[in-house]
Amino acid sequence: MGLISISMLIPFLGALAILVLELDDKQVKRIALLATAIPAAIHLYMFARVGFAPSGYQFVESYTWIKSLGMSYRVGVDGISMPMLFLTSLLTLLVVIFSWEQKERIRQYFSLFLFLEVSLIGVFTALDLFLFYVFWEFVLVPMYFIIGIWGGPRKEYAAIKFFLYTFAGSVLMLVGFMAVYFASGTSSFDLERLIGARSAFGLTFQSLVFAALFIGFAVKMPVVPLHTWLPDAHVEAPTAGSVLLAGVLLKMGSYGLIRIAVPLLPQGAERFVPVMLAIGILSILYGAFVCLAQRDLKRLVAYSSISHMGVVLVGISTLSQLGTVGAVYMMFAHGLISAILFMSVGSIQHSVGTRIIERLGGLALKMPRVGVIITAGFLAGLGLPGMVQFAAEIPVFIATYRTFGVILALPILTVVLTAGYALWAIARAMHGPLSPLSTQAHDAPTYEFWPMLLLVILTVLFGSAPGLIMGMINHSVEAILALL
Amino acid sequence: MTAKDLIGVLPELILILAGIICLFSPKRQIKYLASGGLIAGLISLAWLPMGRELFFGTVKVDQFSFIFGALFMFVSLLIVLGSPDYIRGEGNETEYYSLILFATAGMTFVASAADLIALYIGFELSSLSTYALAGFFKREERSLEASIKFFVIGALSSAIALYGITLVYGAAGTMRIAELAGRLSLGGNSRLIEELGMLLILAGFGFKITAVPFHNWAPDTYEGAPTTITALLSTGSKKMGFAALFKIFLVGFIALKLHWIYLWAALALLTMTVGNLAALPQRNIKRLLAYSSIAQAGYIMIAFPVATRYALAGGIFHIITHSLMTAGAFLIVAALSSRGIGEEMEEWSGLYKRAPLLAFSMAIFLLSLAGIPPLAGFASKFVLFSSAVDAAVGPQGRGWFLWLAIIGVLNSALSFYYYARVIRQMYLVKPKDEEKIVIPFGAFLPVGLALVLVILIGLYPNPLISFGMRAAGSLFTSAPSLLPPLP
Repeated sequence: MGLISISMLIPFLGALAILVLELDDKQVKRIALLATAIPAAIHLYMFARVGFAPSGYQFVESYTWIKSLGMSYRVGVDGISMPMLFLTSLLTLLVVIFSWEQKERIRQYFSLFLFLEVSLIGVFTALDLFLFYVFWEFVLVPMYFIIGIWGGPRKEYAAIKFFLYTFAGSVLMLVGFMAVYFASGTSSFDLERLIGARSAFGLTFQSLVFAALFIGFAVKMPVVPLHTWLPDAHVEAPTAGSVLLAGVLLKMGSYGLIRIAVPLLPQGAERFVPVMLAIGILSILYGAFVCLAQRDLKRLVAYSSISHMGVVLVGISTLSQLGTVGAVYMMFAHGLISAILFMSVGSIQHSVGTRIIERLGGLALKMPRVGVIITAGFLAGLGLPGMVQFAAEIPVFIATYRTFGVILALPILTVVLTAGYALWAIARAMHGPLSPLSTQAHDAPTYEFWPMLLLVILTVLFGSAPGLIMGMINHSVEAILALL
Repeated sequence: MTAKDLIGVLPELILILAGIICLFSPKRQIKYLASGGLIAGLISLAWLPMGRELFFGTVKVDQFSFIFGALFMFVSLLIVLGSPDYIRGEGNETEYYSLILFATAGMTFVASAADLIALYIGFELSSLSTYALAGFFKREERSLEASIKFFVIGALSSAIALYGITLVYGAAGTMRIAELAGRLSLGGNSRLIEELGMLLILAGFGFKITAVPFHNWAPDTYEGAPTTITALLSTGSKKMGFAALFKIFLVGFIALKLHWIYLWAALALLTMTVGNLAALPQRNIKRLLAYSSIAQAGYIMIAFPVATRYALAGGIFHIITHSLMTAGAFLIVAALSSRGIGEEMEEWSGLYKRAPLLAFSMAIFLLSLAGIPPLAGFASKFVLFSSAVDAAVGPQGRGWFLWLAIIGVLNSALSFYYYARVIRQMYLVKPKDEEKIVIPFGAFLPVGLALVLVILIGLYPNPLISFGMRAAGSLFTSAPSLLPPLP
C-alpha cells in the first residue's frame, strides 16, 4: 500500500472510529485532528518530492478491481493533481481546527468531514475513469449532510438543490465515460490507455462526448448558466462546509476538464473552444457584476468564486501551455483565497451575528485580527502583485491575448471589477463608523485566527515565489498538451 | 421420469414439503421450520444437474435458473426472518409461512421452466399464494382491498397471458420455449396470430413486473398488504415476472425481435419515468417505495430492447441488487411499524437519534437505490446503462439506444429527490420524541444481512457481474441457432 492509499485510509478509519466508538467530545476532536494532520503531513512530503523532481505520474498504485469490465484501483499524482491534493488535506485540517468549538452533533460533523476528505483525495488521484467517477459522486453525500444538518435557515433546500444539480450533471458525464470505454475498444477504464486509444474516436463522437463531460464538469465549477446552486449552497452551508466547497469541490470540475476531457477528446475540445471562452467570459463578468450588488458578505464571496472560476475556464479554453498552467495555478490560488474569505466571514458571523454589509461597519476596530485577514484575502483576490492570484492571472491573460487577441479586453475587466467590489465591501464592513451591532463584536478566537493566518502566509509565499509549484504544473501540463 | 429428474426440482420439492409440514406443526416452531426449509432449498441448489433437460424437456436447470432460484429463496429467507415480530398476535401464522414457501416454490419453478405450460403453472402457484398473503391482515380494510385488487387484476392478467400462450401454441405448434425460436416468424398467414399472442403475453406478464401501463394495482397493493408481503411482492414475485419474460422474449420470441424492440424500449422509458414522477409527491413511505419499485423495474426493462448478453447480465444483476435493497427497506418499515412508528413520513422525524442503526441502514438502501457509488445499486445500474451505451456506439450499433441510457441516468438523478426526502426526515429533521426505539436482534438480522451485501457487492461487484454474464449466456445458448450478437 502506497502513500496515497494510506492518506485515504487514515481519515476513513478516523471517521469510523468516531462513529462507532463511544467517545466523549474531546476525544472525537482529537481523533479528527490526528486523522487530518497525518494526511496533510503525507501530502506535504509528496508535494516536496513531486516539486523537486516532476516526472509523469508518481506514487502510482495499481490493483485490479473489477476484472470482468476492466476497472482497476489506480491512483497517482503529477504536477496538476499535487497542488489540489495538498489543498484538500490542508484545508480539511484547517477546517477541523476552525470548528474546534462545534457543539451540535459533533460526531457526525467530524466524521462527515473525514469522509469528504477521503473522497476528495480519491477524485484528485484516481487514474481510472470508473474509480474517478465513484469518488466524484461520493463527494456529494457528505456535503449534502454537511449543508443539510448544520446549514442556515434554508439549508434543506440548498442541500437538495446542490445534490440534484451536480448529480444530474455527473450522470451525463458517466454516460460519456461509458461511450469512451466502449468506443475505444480497450476494455479498460485506465485513463492513460484510453488516451492512447483516442485515435479511434471520430470528430462527431468527440464533440458529443466532450459536450457530455463538459456539462458534468461545468456544473461543478460552476460556470454561468449552470451556477445557480452555488449561491444557495454557499450561503446556507456552515463555514467549514463553504471553505471546502469553494476551496476544493469547485476545483473538481476544472481539474476534470484538464485531466480527462481535454487530453481524451482533443478535437472535441478544439470545437468547444468558442463555447468555453464565451462561458468563461460570461461567468467572469456576471459573477463580478452580481458581487457589486450583494448585501450579504458571504453571498458576495460566493459569487466572486463564479467570477474567478471563469478565469480558470478562459485559461483552459486557450488550449495552450501558458493558459493551462495559469488555470491550474488559479485553481490553487482560489483555493487558498476563498478559504481565507469564507473563514473570516464565518468569524464575523459568529461574533457579530450577521453578515449583512450595511449592518456591519467599523468592525476593524473591534476585530483587528479578522480585519487584517479579510483585507489580505480581498487584496489577494483582486490580484495584488506579490500575492498568489496575481501569479495565476498573468499567464492566463497573456495566453488569452496570444490566442484570441483583443478579446482579452473582456476577461481582463475582472481586475477592475474585483477591485471595485472587494475594496467597497471592506470599506463598508470593516471601516467607517461603528454600527450598533458591531459594538458588541469580539475578535476571532485563537483556533479561528491561526488557520486563517497560515493561509494568508501561504498566499504571500506562493505569490512571491510561484516557482515553488509552477515548475511541477508546467511539467505536467506540457506532458498533457504534448499529446494534442 | 428418473431420479435425475427429481433432483432437478429438488429445491421446489423441499419447499413444498416444508410448506406442508408447516401446516401441521406447533406454532412456536413454524418460523424455524420455514427458515430451515428455505436454507435446505438453497443448499440443494448445489446438486442441480446443470444444463440438463428434465421431464421430457419441460424443465431445464442451468445457470439462469440457479441464480434466480438462489435469489428467490434468499429473499424469502430474509422475509421469513423479519416476519415473527411483525405478524405477532395476528393468528394464522401457520398459513402465513406455508404460503410464503409455496410462493417461493412457484417462483423457483418458473426460473427453471423450459415450457410455457410449466412456466404458467409455476407462475400461478406463486400468484395464488401471494393473493392470499396480501390479505393476511384480515381485520384491516386496506389489506383486504389490496388483496382483492391484486387478485382481480392478477386473475385477469393470467387469463390474458394464457390466451396469448394458446395463440402462440397455435402458430408455432410447440410449447417448448427453445423451439419457439425456430418456428415463429417464418412468415405467412400465422404472422398476425403470432403478434397478437406476443402482445397478450406481454400484457399478461407485464402486470407482474409493474410495467406501465399495467402497474395501477401496485401502489395500492404494496401500501395495503402487510409490509413483509410487500417486500415479497417487490422482490420475489416481480422478479419472477422478469425471469418469465426474459425466457419468453429473449429466447422464445427472439426471432420476432424487430417487432418488439421498440415496444420494449417505449415501455422501459415510460415505466421508469412514470414511476419516478409519481413517487415525487408521496408522503407514505410504503407508497413511495412502491413507485420507486415501478421505476426500478423500468431500468431493468432496458435489458429487453438491448438484448445483448451483457445487457441481460445487467438486468439480472440489477434484479439481484434491487431485491436486496427493497427487501431491506421494506423490512425496516415493518420492524419500525411493529414498534409503533407508522409509514407516514412525519413519524420518521429524527430517526437517526431514536434508532441509529435502522436509520443508517435505511439511508444506505435509499442511496443505493438512487445509484450512489460505491453501493450495489450503482454497480448494477452501471452495467445496465452501459449495456445500452455499448449497443449504441458499437460497430453495428443503433444510435437511439443511447437515449435509453441518457433518460435512464437522468431518471436516476431525479429519483434522488424523493429518496432524499426520507433521508432528510430521518437525519435533518429534529425528533418529536427522543425515546429510543429498541429493535430485537431477530428483526434486525435480515436487514443487517441485506445491508452487508449491498455494501460488499458495491465495493466488489466482480463476482456478480461474471455470474450474471454466465447466467445470461446459458439463457441465450438455449436457442443456439439464433444467438444475438455477443459483446
